[in-house]
Amino acid sequence: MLNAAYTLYEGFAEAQDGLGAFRTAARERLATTDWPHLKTEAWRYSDLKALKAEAFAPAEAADAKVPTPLVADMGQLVFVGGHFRADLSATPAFAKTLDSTDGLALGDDAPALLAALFAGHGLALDVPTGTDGGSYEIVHIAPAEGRSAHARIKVSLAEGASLTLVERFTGDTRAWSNPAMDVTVAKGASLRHLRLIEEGETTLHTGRAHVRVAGGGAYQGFGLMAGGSLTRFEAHVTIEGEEAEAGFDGVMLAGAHQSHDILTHVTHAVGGADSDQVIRAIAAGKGHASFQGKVTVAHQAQKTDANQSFKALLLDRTARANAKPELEIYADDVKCSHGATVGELDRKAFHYLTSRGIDPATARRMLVEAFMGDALVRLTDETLMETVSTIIAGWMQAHEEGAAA
Amino acid sequence: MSNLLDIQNLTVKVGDKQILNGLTLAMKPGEVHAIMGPNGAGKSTLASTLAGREDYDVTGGSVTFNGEDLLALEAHERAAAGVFLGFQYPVEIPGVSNLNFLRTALNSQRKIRGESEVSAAEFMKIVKEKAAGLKMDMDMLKRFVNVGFSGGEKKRNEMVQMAVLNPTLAILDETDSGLDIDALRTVSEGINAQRRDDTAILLITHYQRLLDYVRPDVIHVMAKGKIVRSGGPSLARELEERGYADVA
Repeated sequence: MLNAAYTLYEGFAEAQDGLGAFRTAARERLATTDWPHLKTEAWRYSDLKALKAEAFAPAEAADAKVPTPLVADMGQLVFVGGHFRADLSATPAFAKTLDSTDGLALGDDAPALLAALFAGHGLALDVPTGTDGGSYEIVHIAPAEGRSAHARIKVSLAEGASLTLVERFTGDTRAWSNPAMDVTVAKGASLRHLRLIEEGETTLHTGRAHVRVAGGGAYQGFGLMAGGSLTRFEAHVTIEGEEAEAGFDGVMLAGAHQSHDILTHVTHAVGGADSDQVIRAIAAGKGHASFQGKVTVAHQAQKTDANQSFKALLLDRTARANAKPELEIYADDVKCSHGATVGELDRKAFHYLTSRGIDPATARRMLVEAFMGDALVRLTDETLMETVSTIIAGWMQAHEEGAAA
Repeated sequence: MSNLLDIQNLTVKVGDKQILNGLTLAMKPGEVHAIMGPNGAGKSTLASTLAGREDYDVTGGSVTFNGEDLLALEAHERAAAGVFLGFQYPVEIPGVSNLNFLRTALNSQRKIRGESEVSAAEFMKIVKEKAAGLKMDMDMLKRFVNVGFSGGEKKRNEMVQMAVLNPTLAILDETDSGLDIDALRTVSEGINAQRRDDTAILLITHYQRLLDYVRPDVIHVMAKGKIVRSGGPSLARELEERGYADVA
């Protein structure tokens, strides 16, 4: 049974914002839904004990200092403790308060249902037909100690529209971030979606995105997990039209006691479309990185091209990585591949670099960066690559200092 | 003149196996020495030990380089002190470009020596000049380190690295193996360009062939982990004709 502390909060249920029925449905399903545990297949790599034991009541509106944008001049859309703050944001014309449950996924596990139950002060981005919505940074500032944030964002790209979203999660409290995003990409539309987790070492994070892509549309997601104590992200992507392209790439950096978990489920409901996933993970100290990637190809989805690559690099003997690729193919004329490896730093390459005069710390950093390169190049945009590389460099430095101490 | 390199009674273990058994060798600045010998004699172990490979366990003896205890230095410090190892099997490093690798190496060495870093423009000028001399296409240097390079290209890449890093002591471990005659000539020119009054070159080779292009001052025969015979250039011919069995 669900921790009573979560069900006590009634404020959201009473909010008059058009999401009442959605919350009620979530509430009803929660009544019969247990917390996932390590024996729940989809949650075997993320231990939610802390979430169950500590009562993270939803955060109320609060003020916060907004960090400067990662990319200069990029407009910011700000969430504090899960609530969209128009007063702190540079809101474009196509953005409005979320007031309809159309296209929102309820989810079926307790964290997803709680995200639905506490969905409040959300944001809807509706980019009109043929419009380039530009690039926006969505800043999520973690709530106060012991509180939870359930930011809800709906993104709809009409035919031929395009948009780049850089979502970043910041803050340094023992709090729980539990955001959800619902994405619809119409014919020929294109969404690039970055999720950068820079939260502090004690923050808990469980997020998910439900994405539907129509014919000729493109959704390219990228997740960077650098912060957080327990970080989990699920991307559920359904390809509904031919010549669509979809994928979720990412880099996980799990140091000290961090646990990162990416779960993707790409469904090819229609044939003639491509999906690609390139995930790289670095685990150091007692860090733990996991990838569960499932690709489903429906019976009628012929000529599907689906590829998945996961590689993990363990920097210490105490670090761990898990990979669970799954292919569920019902069509017979498809090209599907997956590869997963877990290894250590290449000693020969390390020696080659140091024997040319490169100090061991720099040599290690070069090899680690090279290892992540396959995932980073998927960002294609130089500015975005640099932005992500800077965060990675920060993590690497912190890790080296931590390892030296 | 004092020795640039002075190896005394060096013994080295790799795993449980004793590979070098009291090897003694001295080189003066300006000299080119060649070490020949049958497979398993310990030639590559000697090269790797001098370069500071960490899984090689020095159990006895000493190595003095430029008056300094070489064995007390880590691999990267040895490189900065002027030691270069041309690898028998150059390593492929996907994700790291040759140019980035080489510039990082050069500036890292300069930093250790207390010299200022070279700018990107200066660096490119040096690389272009050295690459041209070794008939190495600049486009190849923009690619990942040795990835997709043929055997000959890898060896030429080693020579480009040597030319740019400009070491005092170059240890070339079978740099001639796997080269066709044109590549051998190009690589030999690279080695000869590095041959100066203030540098020394230690060639490790199986074949007489390289020594037709790079004339050594001294030839050593190595067997069972030590030098068993040393002599002038004519020793190479003798080995070629009679094999190692008689000599070693």
